[in-house]
This record gives sequence, C-alpha cells and structure tokens, in this order.
Amino acid sequence: MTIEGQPAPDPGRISQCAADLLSSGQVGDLPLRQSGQVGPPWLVSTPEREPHSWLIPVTAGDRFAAFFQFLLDGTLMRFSTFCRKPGAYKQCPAVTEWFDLAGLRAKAANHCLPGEIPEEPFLTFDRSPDRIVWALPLRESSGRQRLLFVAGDAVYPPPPGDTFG
Amino acid sequence: MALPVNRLQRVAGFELNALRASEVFGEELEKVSIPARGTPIHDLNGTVLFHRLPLTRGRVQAGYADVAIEELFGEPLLATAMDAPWDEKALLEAGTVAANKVRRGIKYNATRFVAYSYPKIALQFLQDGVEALMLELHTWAVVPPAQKADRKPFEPSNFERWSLLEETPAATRLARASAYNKRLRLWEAPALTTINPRLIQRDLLRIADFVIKLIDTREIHYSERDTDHVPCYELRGQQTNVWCVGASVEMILNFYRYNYTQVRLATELGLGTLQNPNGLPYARVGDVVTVIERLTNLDCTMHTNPSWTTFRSEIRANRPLISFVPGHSRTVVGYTRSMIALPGNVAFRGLLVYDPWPPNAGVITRWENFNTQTYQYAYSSVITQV
Repeated sequence: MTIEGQPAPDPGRISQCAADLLSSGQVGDLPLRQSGQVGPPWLVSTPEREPHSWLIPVTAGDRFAAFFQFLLDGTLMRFSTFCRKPGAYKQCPAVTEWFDLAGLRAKAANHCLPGEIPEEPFLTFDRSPDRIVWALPLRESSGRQRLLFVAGDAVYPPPPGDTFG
Repeated sequence: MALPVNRLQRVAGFELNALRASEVFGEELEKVSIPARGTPIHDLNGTVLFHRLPLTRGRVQAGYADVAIEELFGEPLLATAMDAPWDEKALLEAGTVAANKVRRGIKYNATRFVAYSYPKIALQFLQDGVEALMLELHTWAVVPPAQKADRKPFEPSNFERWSLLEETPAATRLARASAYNKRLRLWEAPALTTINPRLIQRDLLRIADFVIKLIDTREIHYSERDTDHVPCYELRGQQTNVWCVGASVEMILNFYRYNYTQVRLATELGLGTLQNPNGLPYARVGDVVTVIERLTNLDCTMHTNPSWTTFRSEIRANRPLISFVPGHSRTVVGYTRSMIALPGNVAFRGLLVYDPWPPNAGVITRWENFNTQTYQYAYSSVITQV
C-alpha cells in the first residue's frame, strides 16, 4: 500500500489516498465509510523535530473516530480506530481533545513551573511512533527548554528512554 | 523442470487473469490478448530464461509480459509493462543497422536476445555459435567481453556481463524451483481445464468451483472454529502513560478468562502505583513470562525478534500475542496478507493490533503494515491445565 510516484508525495495527495482507502472499503467499517470525514493531514515529527510521518484524522461529527498514519514517502503505516464497535462513536475522544491547540495549552498550564512560557506545540511520539502525543515546549526565562507530552487527558514529561511503557 | 513452450500462453494467461480478477490491474488489462509464443531471452550460457510476450488489444500493441521458462525465478510471471510495446522484428532491424555501424562487414548467421545482466537485455550476433558482437538493447552500446571477476555473486560492476544461472546459489535455485512448480500446479486444477485464458477478462477466473485465494487472513476467535464463533477480544487502554505492558497483559489474561485489574498486574510487574507509575525497564523483559505463569495456568513463551511466521502461526493456533516494539507494548490478535502482488512488489502484510495507547482509551489498528515496524519481542501463551 504505497502511493505511486515516489518520493515524498505532497500531503494533499496522501490525504486523498486516505479518503480513497476509506471510501473503497479497504479500511474501516460501513458506518465509518458512510459518516466519516477525512480531515487535513498533520505532520508528525520526531521529538527532535525531524519530519517522520503524516497523521490523517477521520472524524464522525464531533468525535475523533480513527486515523491513518503514513510515512513521508506515502507508505501506509497503519489505520487505527478508537471505536470498540462499528458506529460506537460516543466512546471516541472529542476532536477538540486532540486538535484544539488552545485547549491543549490550557491542559498543560497546570503542569508548568513558575516562569515557564509555553511555545508552539507540535505533534510527535513518545518513544514509539505508535504513541502519538503533542509535545508542548516550555521555555524558562534563562532560555532552558523542556517538553511536556499531552495525549488525550494524560499530561506528563518524557519518560526515560530505556523502558517499555 | 523448465516450462515447455507450448504451456507458455496458458500459464501467462492464468497469471495475468489472476491479477485482473484481484483488480491489481484495472481496465488497462481488460480484453488484452496473449500470444502463443514470445521472444526467448537467453542467459549468457545460452539457456532460455524467459519469454517476453507482446500483449495486444485488437491490433494495437499493449505492452508485454515476461514469463519464466527457468525455475530459478521462483514464480512464472516476472514483469509486466503496459506502456512499453515489444516489437521483436523492429528491434532486430534496428540492432542490425547498429551492428553494421559498429563493425562494418560483420559476419554472423544467428541472433538472439540475451539477459547479459538480468534484467538488462542485449542483442547477440553469433557466427557458427560463437559470439561476434553483443549490443545493449536500445542504446546499442557494445557489451564488453566477460571479465575474470574476483567479486561476490550478484555484485557486478557497471556494464559487466554476468550469468544469472551461474551466479544463483544452488540452495536458492532449489528453493525457488519448488515455489515455481507449486505455482504451476495451481494452474493445473481440474476446474480450469476447460478454460482458455488467452484473453484477459476480469471475470474469467470467477467460476463456481475455483477460488483464487487472494488474501490469507485470520483473527482470534472464541475457538478455532471460525464458522460458528465470532472474534472474541477486548481492548483495554493503559491506565497511566507508562503502563502499556500492564494493559497488554490484562488484555491477554482477559482472553483466557482471568480477571486481574491493571493495578494488580502493575504491582506484579513492578510498574508502581497509579499515583507513582513507572515503565518496564528493557532489562526486565523476562518478567512478563514470570508474572503470567505465576498468576495463571498458562505456559508463556518469549520470542526474540519475532518474524511474520511467529505471529501468523500463533494466530492460526488461536493464541493472541503481546508484542513489544521499541518503547511500547501492544497485543496482536490477527493478520492479513495479500497472496498476489505485482511482479517485483512485496505483497501487503498487516497485523491486527489492540494497542493500549493513548492512555485510558487505546486504539484498534487494522492493519499495521508489518514492513514499517520493528518487532523486538513477542509473548505467546498456551493453556497447560483446564
């Protein structure tokens, strides 16, 4: 499952590929095919801010129902859904929980130390590309910077790299 | 055994019709005709390796297909090119003109096409069986004589002639011959004897008592009987940002009807508490086996660097697995793989992953591209006592 015409197709083309995969029934269930909307692509970077992949959300109403993850060359890494059962969107997270950046900053505000100023968040992953998170850089007045990870309702500093978790 | 030329058209027809039936190829292949013979392409040692069959739609050329005569390729269909017409006669004429330019008055009494550096092809001019000249197709550059190569097989230098047959190791040839002949036997099925596959049509192979298995897929069921039991597995989100191992063990134990809470499993695995959690250090991957065996009647096995076959075999035995990838743990409960792909392409292989990330939610990944992930460890469990 790769997009022809390598290398590095533009994100619009990857988004179109995602829409085609969903509408053709190659991924997703019938309710999602009927009511799912393929959203704009979001760049996923490594924690070091190197571009890594594209995340393309699929929303159902105000719910973040599913998503695609493609490598930069257009190779499909995965299609994942939050739905336990076809059409069970109530248990999916709200779109705003993942893609409202102002809300994201507000969520992280309680975890900031005095003097830390939140900078522009970026989509990344915690050790494994399976573990998508938002990284919120926090800068002290001294210029020192640290990251906070936000995944849904979980807000935490990057854990040690030599663990499974 | 090499494929007899009189079976070439039939084998090519079934191969191409299968690609059409599976819609790997679209309308561009519909109603395309396959000739009885093509252009034999030789190895440097003179053995015919494959035939290049020109495809036509009506009177219009519609590309070509390369079909192996030699078993060493492992599959009959080697390549297709739908936008590159193959005109043997025109190439012979152009090659002859080029040969006379390169060597005025060249004497030869035979020509043949040679894969001088597979898949690169040249036109060889022979005088009484001895090469007089060899020109690369289309560029018409002279292919230099063979060098005394002090090199590893399959590592030729630029524009070097080499023999595919002689450089392929015997063990590889043997394995590929087995795969090749297995594939040929598929097209000898009794249900196909009355079918003429000379013309490519999408529905040709969709006949009542012949099923081409296009996809091999399975997921965990309540029992090994798929026919009357539905998939049976539940997703559990990890309760902290570092408890993916606890959540994965919980999912596996739930499948076997053990109801330990994630908090209890975290304690057993040394992952701390809800208020003060920690991940599983890399050095303690063996703890998963110890804990599962201590809490259950399951016999747990850890697989290092698990292969596709590991996952497939366990799923076919109706046993879900815990899968460790760098920094993360999930469970695998199904697989799918395409049985047919374009020549030269790797068929898609995917895993059905119940992933406890993100915290308190988790996702079901259907499918995870097996070729884009690094699989470090897997754990499978067998019931030892009921």
